[in-house]
This record gives sequence, C-alpha cells and structure tokens, in this order.
Amino acid sequence: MPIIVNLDVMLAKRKMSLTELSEKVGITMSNLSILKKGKAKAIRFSTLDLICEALNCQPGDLLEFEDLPDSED
Amino acid sequence: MKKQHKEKDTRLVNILLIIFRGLYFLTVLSLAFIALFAFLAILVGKHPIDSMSFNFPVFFSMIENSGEAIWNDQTITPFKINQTLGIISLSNIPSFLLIVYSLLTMLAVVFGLQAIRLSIQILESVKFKKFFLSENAVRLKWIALLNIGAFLSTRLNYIFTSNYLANKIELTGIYFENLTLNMIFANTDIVIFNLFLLIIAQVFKVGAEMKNEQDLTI
Repeated sequence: MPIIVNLDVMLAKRKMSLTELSEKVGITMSNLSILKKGKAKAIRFSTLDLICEALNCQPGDLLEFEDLPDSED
Repeated sequence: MKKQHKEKDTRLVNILLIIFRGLYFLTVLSLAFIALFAFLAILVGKHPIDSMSFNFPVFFSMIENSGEAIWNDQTITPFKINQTLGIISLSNIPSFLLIVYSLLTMLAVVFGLQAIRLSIQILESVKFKKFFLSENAVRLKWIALLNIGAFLSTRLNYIFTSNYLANKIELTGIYFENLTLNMIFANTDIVIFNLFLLIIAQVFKVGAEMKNEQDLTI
C-alpha cells in the first residue's frame, strides 16, 4: 500500500507509548497496532482527529504517500 | 433476554454439531462396508457372500396395458406403466457389477462425507463466534460442488446399473430398458438448490471481504 503510517515515529517524538495513546484517544491497542503496522485499510477522520490531538501533530506528520513503481495513477 | 437468545443459539449449534458428527460417523461406517465388499469381490472374483442380496435400480415399462382408469362419468380407459425407475433385489451378483456399483457408490459417499465435514467446520466457527470469514465462503462453495458431484455419481450409477441389467433380467409382461435422457435429468431439485448455494457462497465471500475491510478501518 502506498500510504505509510508514521505512528511509531510520532510516538517516539512525543515520547509516548502505544498504551498511553490508546488510553488517551479511547481506541483499542489492537486497532492502534493494526494502524502502526500499516495493515489498516482505512482510517476515519474522527480517529485521525483524536490521534492528532493526542500527539499534537498534523495529519501529514502521521500519513505519508510513497509513489511505488507499480502503483496506479 | 439477549443472554437467553444467545444460549438458545449455542444450544441449536450444539444440537446441529451432534447431528452432523453422528451423520459423519455413520457415513464413514457405510463407506467402510462398501469398500470391504468391493475389495473382497476383487480378491475372491465373485460376490463374497452369495446369499446376500443388493438393491439395484432398474428402468422398465410394461409390455401391455395392465390397468384400468375409471373416470367420474364411469368411462374406463386402459393404462400401462411406462418408463418407471424401480428397485430390484439381486443375489449372486457378478463381481464386475458389484465392483463398479460399489466404486460409484463410494464416490458419492466420499463427496457426501466431505460436504458433512465442511458443514461441521462451519458450525464450529459459528460456535466460536467467527462465522463471517472468507474460509466459510470457500466451504459453502465446496459443499455445493460436492453435493452436485454426489448427485452426478448417483445418476451415473443408475445409468450404469439399469443399462447393464436391462438385457440380463427377465420378467413376464415387463420390458427392461436403458435409462433415457429425460429420466437422467429428472428430479434435479438438488442440483438447482446447490447452484443457489453457490450464489450464496459468492455473496458470502463478498460480505466477508467487506467485513474484513470494515474490521481494518480504524
């Protein structure tokens, strides 16, 4: 998938653990883990909103697009 | 109330599991018997137990009109039995007939056994609350295909047996004939039902994929 989730990078920058983030935003550890590993198929704006608020960052800090050679335009 | 519903559902699943497991066990037993007789027939070169009779399907018509239809206005018209599928009981069966009949029966039974096994797997996934999976869609598809396979094996068995016996058995007033095409394709309800099950399996597969997408939507 060309969209990369940099959740682990932001957690390291904010010196926060996944457990703490889970408690702050009210999303389960398993769901956050899916997000962190890049296995998520989609993210709701409401979820993005909560995570950005907790990590004090922009959506662009969390999500990155990598143009892979075989990705469709 | 919700808890009671859930308990009832689990009870129903458990009952179905017992029934299907029992069915599986009985089918395995019957398969073992059929295989044993076929193997002994090959080994001995004839039916292993001369006195034991087997039932075989035959296709026949009556040569002459043998019955009367009496209508409401008291008119009487003769009728005869025509193109009927029946069962005869035979003993001292030639080994060739027994072997082919057994093999085709075993094929149908193996297909049925697999279908039962897949049904048990689906029920077990229901029991553990993991029903909406793409694996279950694949299982449903295979149950449908196996049921169609079992139906075709059984029909092939009918064709072989009735056509083999047609010119070997005699009964006064009855003409034994080869199975016609219209009889082969009669009572295809099972095939239609299983084709419908294939559609359900495909819909289920799409649903499972949608659920998977939903589960991976954070």
